[in-house]
Amino acid sequence: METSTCSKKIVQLRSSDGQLFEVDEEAAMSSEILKNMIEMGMPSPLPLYEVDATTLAMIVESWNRRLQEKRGEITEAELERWEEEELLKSKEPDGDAICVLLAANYLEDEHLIDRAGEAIAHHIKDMTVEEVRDYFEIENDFEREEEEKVFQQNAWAFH
Amino acid sequence: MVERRERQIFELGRMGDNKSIGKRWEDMETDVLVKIFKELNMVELAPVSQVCRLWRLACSDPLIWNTLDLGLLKSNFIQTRASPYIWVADRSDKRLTRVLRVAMALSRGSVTSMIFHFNLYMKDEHLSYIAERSPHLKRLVMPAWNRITKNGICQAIRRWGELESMTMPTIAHPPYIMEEISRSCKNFSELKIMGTFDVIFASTIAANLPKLKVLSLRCSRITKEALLCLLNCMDDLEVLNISHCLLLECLAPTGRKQVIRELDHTILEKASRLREFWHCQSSSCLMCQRMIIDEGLMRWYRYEEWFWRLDEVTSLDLGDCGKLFDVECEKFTAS
Repeated sequence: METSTCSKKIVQLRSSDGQLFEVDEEAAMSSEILKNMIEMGMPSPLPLYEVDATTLAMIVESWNRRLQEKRGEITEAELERWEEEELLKSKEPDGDAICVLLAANYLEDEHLIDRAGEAIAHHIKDMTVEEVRDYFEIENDFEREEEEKVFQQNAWAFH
Repeated sequence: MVERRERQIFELGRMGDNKSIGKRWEDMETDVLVKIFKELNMVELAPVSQVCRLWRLACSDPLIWNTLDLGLLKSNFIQTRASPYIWVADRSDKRLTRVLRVAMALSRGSVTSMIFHFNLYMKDEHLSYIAERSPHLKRLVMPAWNRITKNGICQAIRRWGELESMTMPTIAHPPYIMEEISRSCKNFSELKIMGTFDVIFASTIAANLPKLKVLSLRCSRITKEALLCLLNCMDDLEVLNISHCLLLECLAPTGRKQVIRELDHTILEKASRLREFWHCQSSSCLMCQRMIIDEGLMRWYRYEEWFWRLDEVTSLDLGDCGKLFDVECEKFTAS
């Protein structure tokens, strides 16, 4: 297939729930998985079995913005601010940041994995164990003895 | 915003069995959790490891722990006139114990590289503690051995069968340690010595570690005799770094030592077979100048925090301190 530096190549992606998205090929290359699929010549639309439409919409927007930054249309600071505030809601990360992380991991987008990981880490680091469990609705599956042991190992060290 | 969130939950619900955020967390594979936890320092990781079993597993992942860099941790000490020339406040020893306990508990044997500061003076008990709990250690950077006994270090080396690289200070009688490494560490290939390096040290290494591949003596005081011994005897040596070393030659008949400014033809020729030969003995180089001012025994504490961590040899350069024990950790554990 002939490629020209002037033409913008588009790829079609299909989310897990069947919605179709059109993306700049260059933007889609942010994902290692998609990069491989494109290079292998897989036919459109490329199926993403583990990314739903809502999340994919956010991811595609983030790729477009990164492309804009690369082209000098927006500054690095503007990109970072958007990522932190709009994409990941760093001040109060909710399901969005987690969805982005899971999708970025599936898509193998290193940049987004790092950003999302940082945002969530930043949020949980000041929480107590109970607060983390409540916030993420995680059940404590330790046996009482185990939990006591882990607690002692840490408590002894710091208090 | 509310609308969108409701839609999202609806979507997740549609995907299967009424999944809330919590369920998604529980489904998350450890490798995704590790991507979050690698941003935390060890004080922050401690409560995270208590949340549930999966999180605890993720907290001990090698990606997080393979390098334990305690380069910001220093002992509270004063110098003394008598051996071991260092006195450390008891509180400081206890602090080190606390930090090591948490690190070893969280890492669960994943640590393969450990880095300590040149002013971190640990005792045998600390050394044996980490040796027991990091059996797969491949690299040790420990520039201060003042308070460690021969027995202590040998016992530790015996537990580290996979050790490949060590950075150590000059010691008075090197044979015992080189022999122990030769016996216990079959893959040992890289050594860095900080201090002085004479022909006895060189011949001990040649005799006990003939398969050594990488040697750095950067910013040390070395004799020409020692250098020639290395170049003549160590056939498997591939990388040698003598950058900014104070290179001394004994002048007959007085026995006075003279600083060599330029490497002669013999040395350069012998060194030409090495894959990498790093040298710099220049009077205009800042690092060489520091060596002259310090009379061959670099007083690292006078210079930048990162200066002692540098090495021209990539595998020996330490880079920055990483996230596990950062400035916050240092402050938190100091109280």
